[in-house]
Amino acid sequence: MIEQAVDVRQSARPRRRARDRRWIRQLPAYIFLGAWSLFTLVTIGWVALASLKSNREVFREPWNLPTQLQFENYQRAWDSAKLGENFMNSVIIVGIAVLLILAISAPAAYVLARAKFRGRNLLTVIYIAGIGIPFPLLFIPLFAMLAGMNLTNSREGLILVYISLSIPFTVFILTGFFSTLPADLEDSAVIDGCNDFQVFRHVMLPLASPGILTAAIFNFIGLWNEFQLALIFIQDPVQRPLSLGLYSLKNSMTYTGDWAGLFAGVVLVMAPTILLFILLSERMISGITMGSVK
Amino acid sequence: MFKTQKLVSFALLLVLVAVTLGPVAAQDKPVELVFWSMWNESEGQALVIQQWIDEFEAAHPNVTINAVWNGRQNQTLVRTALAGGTVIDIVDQDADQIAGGLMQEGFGLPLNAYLDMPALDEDVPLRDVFLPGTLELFAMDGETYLLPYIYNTVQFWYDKRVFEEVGIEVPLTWDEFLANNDKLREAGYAPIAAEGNEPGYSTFYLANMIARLKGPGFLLQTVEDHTGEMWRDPAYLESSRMLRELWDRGDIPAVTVGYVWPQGQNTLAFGQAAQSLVGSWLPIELSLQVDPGWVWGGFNFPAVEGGEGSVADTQALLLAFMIVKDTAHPDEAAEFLRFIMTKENQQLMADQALVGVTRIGVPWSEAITDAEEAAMNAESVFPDVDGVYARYPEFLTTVLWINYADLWQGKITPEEFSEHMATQSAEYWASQE
Repeated sequence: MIEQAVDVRQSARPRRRARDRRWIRQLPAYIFLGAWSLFTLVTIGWVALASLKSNREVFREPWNLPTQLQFENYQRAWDSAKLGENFMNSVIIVGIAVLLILAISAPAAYVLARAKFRGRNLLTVIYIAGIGIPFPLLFIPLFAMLAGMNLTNSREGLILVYISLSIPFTVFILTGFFSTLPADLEDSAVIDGCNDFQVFRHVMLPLASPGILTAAIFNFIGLWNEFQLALIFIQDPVQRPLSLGLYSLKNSMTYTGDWAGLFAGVVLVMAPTILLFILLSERMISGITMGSVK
Repeated sequence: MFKTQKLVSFALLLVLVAVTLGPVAAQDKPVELVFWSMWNESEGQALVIQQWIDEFEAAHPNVTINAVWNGRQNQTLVRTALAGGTVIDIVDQDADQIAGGLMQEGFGLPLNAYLDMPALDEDVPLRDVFLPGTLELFAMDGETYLLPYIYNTVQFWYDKRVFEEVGIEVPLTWDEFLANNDKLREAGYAPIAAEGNEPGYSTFYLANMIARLKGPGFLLQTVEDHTGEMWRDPAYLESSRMLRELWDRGDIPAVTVGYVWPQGQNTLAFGQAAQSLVGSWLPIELSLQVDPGWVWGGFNFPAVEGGEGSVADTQALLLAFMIVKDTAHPDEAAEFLRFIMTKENQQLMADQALVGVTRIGVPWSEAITDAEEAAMNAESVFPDVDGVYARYPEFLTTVLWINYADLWQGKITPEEFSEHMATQSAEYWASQE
């Protein structure tokens, strides 16, 4: 019995050594990631604390706790920049855009990944090449097109722009997901009497849902934080999304030195994205890594 | 014959009716002006402009002005929108920026004819109600395209209580300035608050020093010298040495070298530093940071012994309106600009947004009375970087700022600065031909 125990310890030793070696090899990565996480937390924490200070405290005592919590900074930021309206605009613009991006990209990616037809590879490359086009090159043609449709300075126009510019990336992601699904399932569905659309709708789409969710989250976060296109295409304060509201807040509050109000506005803008990430981060990571190991 | 006479009479009657009623009909025709602004709708300046618009519309019921509050990226957005076919009638922006951008690109409507019309509230031509030099600052080939409405001076800003405590007066010469700095250091103050890593701010020193040594306009002339040889003028060596001396003497603390806005000016607000060379917007920017008893003072860059410039030469950073050349309603747009230049309307801007304005005889807010005095008594005015910002923005960012930042931060010597500028200017202009 004792001999057996010795044997177990002896056999466990090389495993432990291997584990230790792996841990030492990964140590620099952990140190880097730990430092990065700490930096991010400290930065966000500093901004959150500064948002509760008086303006004189923000820079005079940057590392101290607020002597008195100044919640009115939040009220000022909210009122000054119409963040409530901006928030609802972002929800509408980003929500509709993400839904339509997926509605267009999922069937396109499915066909590009599974169907066999001449020119499929070329078509895929053309779709994906869209990722490489710098947005500023498109400002003037897009503006002219939207002006022609009388859609400048409107949420509808910005939604159209977001959809068209997000499709290449979304198709790229979803093509990868659809191509990893087993072909046998399609064959079985066809034998059971499904037509092509039914195969897509009832078999392949549910199977690709982790990928679709990932694409949705990526698009949501990207569009929620998008600034450049919104700045070009929306001028009406009533139609502005949150990123433009924050920009407007930054301009007006730095000019009058209201840094505490500005930081309160930053917290208000950051909060939904951080919350979403906390709730969905595991899904997101599993979605990204899905299919990476065969 | 009789029939012909009747026809002619009828035609004449028609013409008469048309001539009599024509202007009335034209007056009643609805006009929509589109104004794209550099302000955000919640800013004090925007609130005043909106008030101007409301009052103008009430006085001109057929005119509607739709303001679009774009913020500081206004010019970029205007350019894209105009290229995309959007109708814009009036824009506003920092005068240096728009002069170097849309105005230089030919988008501005000439205003000379409108400026010759009488002011709305005084029996003088409109051009005569502007503070000295402001209209002419960005004129191009004798034509005015920009109508300035906000006036910022670049001066040393300080707390008058500190000068009283240390027992020093406003310096008029460079030697007096250095003597003041000695006393401020002894009293425990950093004499100068500076943004060491902001070329836009640090170039105020170069532009003012050269203006004092060689007079306003010399720096611009130097930039326009395509051989680059003017950078070898001894004045550049002298000015570079004098500016570096501020660092070497400890007048500007060494730690400041990496400061970006607003780090430097905060040291002024916290009472650690005593003076800062910056625009007259500073009292507003620091209003929530300074002690309640703070008493703002401002003085011009001191004169240099033997220099050709005067202490009364004032660097002016203006904000201006421009009417877009292709507007369908130039008269109505110009009428709006004439309207905003009344004393009453300019006073509204001075009182509510707490900024300097361009109309003569309109008192500025208490914190910037020294700026008002400098503007009123200016012997000459010169724009940002002596006009280089407006005329040669690419040269400024790719050649001058890079080398000047190196000099300012002590990475190169004054001799190297002159040499680099001479050779790189020649290369820059050669690449443009």
